[in-house]
Amino acid sequence: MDCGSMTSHLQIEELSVGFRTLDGHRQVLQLAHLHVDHGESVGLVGESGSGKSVLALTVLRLLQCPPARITASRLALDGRDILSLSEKEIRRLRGRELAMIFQDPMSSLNPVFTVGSQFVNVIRRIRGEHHTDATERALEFIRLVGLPDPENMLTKYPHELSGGQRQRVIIALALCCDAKFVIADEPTRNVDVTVQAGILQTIARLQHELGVSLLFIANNLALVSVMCDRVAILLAGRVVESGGVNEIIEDARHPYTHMLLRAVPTPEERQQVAAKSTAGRLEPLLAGAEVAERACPYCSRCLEADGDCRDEAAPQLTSVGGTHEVACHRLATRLESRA
Amino acid sequence: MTTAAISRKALRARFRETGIKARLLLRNNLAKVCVGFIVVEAVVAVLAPWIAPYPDDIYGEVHPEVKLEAPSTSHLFGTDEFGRDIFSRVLYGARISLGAATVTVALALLIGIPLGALAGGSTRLVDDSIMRVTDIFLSFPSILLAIAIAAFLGPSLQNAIMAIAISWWPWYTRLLRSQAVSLKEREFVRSARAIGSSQRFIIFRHIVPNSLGPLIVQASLDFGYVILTLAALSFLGLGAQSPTPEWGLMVNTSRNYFLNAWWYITFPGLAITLTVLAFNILGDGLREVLDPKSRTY
Repeated sequence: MDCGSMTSHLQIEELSVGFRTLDGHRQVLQLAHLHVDHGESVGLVGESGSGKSVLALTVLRLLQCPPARITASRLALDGRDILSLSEKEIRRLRGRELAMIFQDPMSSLNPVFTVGSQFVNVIRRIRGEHHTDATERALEFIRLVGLPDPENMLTKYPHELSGGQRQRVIIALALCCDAKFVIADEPTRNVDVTVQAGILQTIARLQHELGVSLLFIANNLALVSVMCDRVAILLAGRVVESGGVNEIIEDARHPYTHMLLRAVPTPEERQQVAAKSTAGRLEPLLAGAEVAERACPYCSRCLEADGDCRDEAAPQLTSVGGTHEVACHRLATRLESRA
Repeated sequence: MTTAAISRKALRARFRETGIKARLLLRNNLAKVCVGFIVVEAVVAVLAPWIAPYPDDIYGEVHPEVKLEAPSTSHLFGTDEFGRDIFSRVLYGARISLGAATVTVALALLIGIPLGALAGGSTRLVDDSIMRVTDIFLSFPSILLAIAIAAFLGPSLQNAIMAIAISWWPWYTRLLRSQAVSLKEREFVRSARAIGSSQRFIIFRHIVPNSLGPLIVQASLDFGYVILTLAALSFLGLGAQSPTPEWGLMVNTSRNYFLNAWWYITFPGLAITLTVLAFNILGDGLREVLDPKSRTY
């Protein structure tokens, strides 16, 4: 697909992130390409440890290098190369153009200052506004995220708020300086389901109202499917399938995506849970078996994998129509068996 | 609500928080007594020259006709070998001890906090260089280091204060570094970085305010230790010089007379003991209030 266009808000090509460890270099992220267009919302789905948060921190350049090592042929926000910016320049970018919503609302606010003072500080520092203007602006954004009684909210300490309220405050804080690119790293991970729905609605609404581009990170395909225009499935640091939400949900091609889709429990399956052995494997199928160093990340768990999958280098993303891309050695075989 | 009203309300919220902590502290009876003692002592320290019954006795005045008299109504704590009123001198001693302790702890905090925050928030190299220096300081018994520095600077009250401050800051550096190291992995500090806060902003806005609890506890305990150390230095002749009414110095000069004049050594000694004890208990009380893990309400 055409990734070379200058119109993408965030553009990633040939990104590789690794960490120096005691056992030598450990590669954790190997992205061929990923982009987020202006005003678009892209979901990044993967199990824990697949590299989702590392990607977020890489884009914000919050990883400490070393031990981290980042190389990319292109990592650009609005056409600006993020990796070549100086520490000062990237700091100017954070908050102003690039913001992040962290996953834990309980600890993302400074416990010793009131909500208002945290807002005012951020707004004053980034936008250079006076105390009064900053307070007005804070009120406006607290209203925007749907919190009741904004005036009182400003005088509260974080411990006086519920988890859902805190998460809304955090969203307002991330957006209050007009950042146009927002990374939400599992923003509803630690809140219950009813609150989750409200918060997701708020994020989706603000994304449209403020015209923000969103990179939405989650480990739940169902969440992403309601939030995003496009989805990328991440496994062991590689994108194994990406495409429009409908393409992924209705026409998943990668065995891992199939497994993820089947992992969403439905009421009918309640009785079958125990017997659900073929739904997909979480345990390695080939525990201890020889798997080539850079082989397909799914091959040890894949029910369809054959010798080639284990021996050959990881498959490249190939288009299966439009923007829908899959990285699987068995793709051709499966297409044949379909036909 | 206007923005001014919001600011006022936020300020009230802050006072309310402080008020809750103060009430919690005062619920502890022992701490209540100690706070009372320290407050009275502080008032005495400020007003000493005016409330002392014999203000002239505080420094050089000599009254040979009343020397080494036992406590009586005219001399509550008796008199010393020059006939000076010990009560007046002990009162004035509070001014010296509390004042010196304030300056010392403030100096130690002033050096210790920035270094600790820098060590905890900076690169490995900076961290290591700062912490190894503090390790060197901490490897000496603090009183020994203070004695060495005081001896090097020459005996005087100011030099004693300097000496103690120099031997004391590493404790705060260590404390703040450990706080900073654990705080900088907390989500709100990472959020702050994600929204473009500078290192300095993070240190002074996030790390130091969140370390205030342990810092206050440590500082209040140190008030006691500093007073004790200062008295020890003066006792050894390295601190305040005669005729300054410093408690440690008074204990020192009383050594020659205490077999016949028990009051001479007793009252300055009691002043030191009670003050150190009061600050220790206050520190423990504060720890209970400010350490959220032991908080119960």
